[in-house]
Amino acid sequence: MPFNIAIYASLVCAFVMIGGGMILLAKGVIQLSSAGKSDEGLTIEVLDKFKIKTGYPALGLFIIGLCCVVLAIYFSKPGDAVSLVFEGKLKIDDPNVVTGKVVPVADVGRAFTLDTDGGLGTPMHPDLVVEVQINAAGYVPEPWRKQLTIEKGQTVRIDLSNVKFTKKPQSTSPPKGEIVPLPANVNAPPVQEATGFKPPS
Amino acid sequence: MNSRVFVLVIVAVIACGGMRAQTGPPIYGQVISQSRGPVGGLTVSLVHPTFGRSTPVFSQANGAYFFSNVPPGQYYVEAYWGNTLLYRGVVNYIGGSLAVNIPLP
Repeated sequence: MPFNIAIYASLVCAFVMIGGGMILLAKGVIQLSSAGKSDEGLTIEVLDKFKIKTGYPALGLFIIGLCCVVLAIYFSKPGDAVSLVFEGKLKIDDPNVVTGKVVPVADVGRAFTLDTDGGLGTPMHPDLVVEVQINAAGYVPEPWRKQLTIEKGQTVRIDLSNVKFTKKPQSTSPPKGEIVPLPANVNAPPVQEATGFKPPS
Repeated sequence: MNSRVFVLVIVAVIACGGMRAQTGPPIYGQVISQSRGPVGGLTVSLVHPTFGRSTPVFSQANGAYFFSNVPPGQYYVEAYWGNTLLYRGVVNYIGGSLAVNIPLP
């Protein structure tokens, strides 16, 4: 999400830069006819090593802005984060009964033995597997599961258009049981937004 | 000598039994409706006053559910049909493995 925000912010900056340049041209603050003729252009010097001199001050400022936009996008790009992108729409009569979660698969791993000198000279490439679980009360399958092997920085796409939930023969809600009220000081997030316990640090 | 070996074997069996009991899921149980029997497909969640809400689990076709990695404390066990809360009860978890069944009418 932060990466998307950076892209949107950069897009706005780009439009402001182009629009601002056009307005300045229209108002006569910048004149293309005089560009390049004057020696009093724009000079940029970085650490006494790079020196850029241009007779087009507006163009120079535009390039500086463009560099800032590109750098902002580059540095906001997620490095090790894994992205799961859900595509398509799953087939179900009542989307309100659907809950889901993504959990790491704990029993996947790679065994190894030490060398005779007690070291481990061989690099390992363990698989990291997560499972996407989608549950719909009163529907089958319960739940729908899909395991994915993930790598750092990878975007994994999951097509939901092939996922179909069908009603079980007895698909109405069971009657409500005992519901103990929560104390006023307990503010738990809704069950659909639960991300796990957060013990106080 | 034989009696020492016998005592050691007994101690080892007891120790193994204790370790085995601790490897079970911390909180597990079954969602059972008096009128329907086991209820699968429900979303079950734990709420702790400080830790917040656990990652939910789903009851299986036989109504069974279980939570792993639960710190000791007092929890509220909730069962949902989609967004609808069907049950909330209090459970005091002090460690080990604890069975908590969710009764529904």
